[in-house]
Amino acid sequence: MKLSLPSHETIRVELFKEKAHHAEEYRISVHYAPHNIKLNQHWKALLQLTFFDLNSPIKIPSSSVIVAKQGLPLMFNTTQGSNVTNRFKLDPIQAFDVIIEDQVVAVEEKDLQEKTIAERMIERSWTEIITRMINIKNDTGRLLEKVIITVTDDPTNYISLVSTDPAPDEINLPKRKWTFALEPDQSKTIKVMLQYQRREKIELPEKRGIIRQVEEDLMLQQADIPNKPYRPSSNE
Amino acid sequence: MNAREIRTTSEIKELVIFSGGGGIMRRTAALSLREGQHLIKLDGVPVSFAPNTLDVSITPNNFNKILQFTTKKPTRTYIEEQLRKEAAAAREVIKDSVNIGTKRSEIIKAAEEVIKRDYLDEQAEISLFVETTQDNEATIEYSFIIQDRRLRWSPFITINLLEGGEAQIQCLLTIENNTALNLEDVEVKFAEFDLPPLSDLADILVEHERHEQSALPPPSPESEEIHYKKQLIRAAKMLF
Repeated sequence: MKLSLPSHETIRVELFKEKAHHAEEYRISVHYAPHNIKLNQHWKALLQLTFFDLNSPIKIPSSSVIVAKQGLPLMFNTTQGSNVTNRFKLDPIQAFDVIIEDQVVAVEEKDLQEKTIAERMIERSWTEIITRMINIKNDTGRLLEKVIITVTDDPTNYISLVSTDPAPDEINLPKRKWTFALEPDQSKTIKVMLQYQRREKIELPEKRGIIRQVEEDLMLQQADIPNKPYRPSSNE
Repeated sequence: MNAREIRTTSEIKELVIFSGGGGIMRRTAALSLREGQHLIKLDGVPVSFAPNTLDVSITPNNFNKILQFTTKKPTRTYIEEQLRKEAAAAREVIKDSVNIGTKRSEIIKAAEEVIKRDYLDEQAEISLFVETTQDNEATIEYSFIIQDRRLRWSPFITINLLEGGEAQIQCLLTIENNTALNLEDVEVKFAEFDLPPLSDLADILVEHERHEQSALPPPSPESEEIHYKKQLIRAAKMLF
């Protein structure tokens, strides 16, 4: 564009003014790992606005954004811009009016096995079946047209998802995705059953010989300390 | 080299401004060249240009051949000293302008331009040795990157959400030109780009950025003078 830029002055020009369509998405990301598998959680929902069918003369630049509705400011946000001229997204912001509670309902332990792997070293393994309920509540007071919840398990840490109710709309391991609409003041619950393979190694105390036991009993008698527990000394 | 000296009177063909500051300037000039050798001095190249990015071409190229080009920047120390003196004089003019009445604002504007002038606003010397085999009307085009954070742009988007999933989107650009460049009716483009300080101007650019971040004015000539005097007194005390 042809412009005049006088020295030591700041000018403002309109790059474009266009109509476009917009869509809003509420994204919830749930991730299970050993540190949170048996804890109740509050996940956060992120709101992201997408604008499309835009007819901009240039790529959308990275910029600060004011979003208004019927002329009144609604939010201050930013966009990372876009490499295309017809669509861009605003940076996600937390939606505090969408409340997600994820609670542990039951933990069942089964298949306990024990084996000796070396002298004084045993290994125990068992399976935990953890049932959780994820409850998503719409407190925004309006219809949420698109809520996307993604549940990710952690197979590298022996946490795997066994079953869900309802079944996911899309499976792209290790992610399961549900997409739904949520009426105002309504809730949606997803039941998730996870399997956690546990394993621990235990080192047993050294067996006491007969001579050592006699010595110890003698010491206890001399010290007049009845039933003192045995503690091996450092030079043993 | 016995060459005919020519000074170009170029115009800006295009200016691409970077969002992070600076940009690419493309200039063009028409020349009448006779058979023989020429020393062509290019105009309109500020000191803030990055020498490695200078690109020169001459058309028609079958009669004209660029043998070499040289670049020279004025010595920073002397220029800055001169600018300080000019700024001090301009401040005096502003101080006295209170009695001039209606012309006061014009005087302040002119004086302010002198005060704000920087080493980066000075002109660099670019000389081109060209050998011409036949008289011709030539066009010289040259482009270079300007490393100057005082020239930059930033966008601002306003979105008004409408009924039926529609939205009205307006994107405004704010272009800051705090250089001495006076650009009139120039083809301007905008690039989202942040250039790291290149070559010889790295320290001066970093200094500019630091002043900008701290929002403090650069040290005034008076305070430097006082500092210099203090140093002299300290040196004298040590000697005697």
